[in-house]
Amino acid sequence: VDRAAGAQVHELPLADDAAEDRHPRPGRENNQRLTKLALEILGSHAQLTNGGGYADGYWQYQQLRSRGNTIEAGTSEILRNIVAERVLGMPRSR
Amino acid sequence: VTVDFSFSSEQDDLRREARAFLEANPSPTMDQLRELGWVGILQGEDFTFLDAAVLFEELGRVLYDGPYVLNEVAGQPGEEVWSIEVDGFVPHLDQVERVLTPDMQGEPAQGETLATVDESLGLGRLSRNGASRAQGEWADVRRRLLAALALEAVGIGSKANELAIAYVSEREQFGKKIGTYQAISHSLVDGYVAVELSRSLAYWAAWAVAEGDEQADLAVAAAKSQAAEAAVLACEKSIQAHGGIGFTWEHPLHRYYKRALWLEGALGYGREHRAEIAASLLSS
Repeated sequence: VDRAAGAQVHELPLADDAAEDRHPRPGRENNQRLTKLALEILGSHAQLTNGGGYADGYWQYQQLRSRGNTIEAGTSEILRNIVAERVLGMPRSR
Repeated sequence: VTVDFSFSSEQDDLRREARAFLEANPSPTMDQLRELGWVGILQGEDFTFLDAAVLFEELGRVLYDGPYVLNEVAGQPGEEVWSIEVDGFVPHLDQVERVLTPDMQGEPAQGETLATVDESLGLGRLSRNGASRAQGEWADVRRRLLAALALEAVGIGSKANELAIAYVSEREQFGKKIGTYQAISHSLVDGYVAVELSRSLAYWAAWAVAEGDEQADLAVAAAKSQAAEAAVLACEKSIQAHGGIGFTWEHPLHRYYKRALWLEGALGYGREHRAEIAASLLSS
């Protein structure tokens, strides 16, 4: 494992998705991309988790957790519909 | 020259039998597989890597959690069950008797089992002591392994797509099946297209390995990089389409996803294989 690269990625903040935040923020999908990059940097150690993993499996947990980010508090599809119809004034789908 | 890439009717029969057996027994023992005649399938004259390919894909579909595939890929004679050290770690370490290492030694399967994201992987770190020289060449083992990983990924990706299609064809929101919303259906079509393109590459790779074709290295690199990434993508699309239920411990999707993530990293991420392919294309 390239610990220097891992440590740098570790410094980056993850977007905080509060449940009341109804805005579709790119942070949610960026979490998924960022955590994926972190695992790729971990390379053959990407499967190791908990005590045996780099940073106690922090990135492994965050990567799996990030899949929920585009589902909870309104899926990305629903939030895009809201922007399309209410913000941009496009025709309503239903 | 045209090559017929379709499977023979015997191979189609094998797939039907394998699927029926594995749906009833998704976690068969090596003894059960031995009774079916699957163990040592590449050792005799009766079967080729294309026959094994059918089994590897079907085992992927049911998330088979044992050492069978690695044992066949290791290709060692005798009754012992083998695993292979992959990127420094040994899948199913405590389910096998010997481990093949990239320097082609056969090590006793001793060492420490580690906590992994895919809990069915049984990944261990080998303690090396008392190896004997194994048969064959690592280049051949690696080629078979890349093809096998690609085929397993095709099985995983196909199943993830099928689960999603079934779910969005039933689940209703706003008075309609959610599969009628294009944000859902187009996303699942992208997952399907990725897996089907990778299926073609995986079957090409299996054929190239079976025939010892001169393009085998290219084929297995292309197949493994595309199929593993397609499986990851299909699982992600499937989880998204399932909404909250796909994110629960009870639903099988997370296990498919974790296996796909292992396949994506095993023997190098896609970009490493694409670099190999690029180097080979640019030098010719």
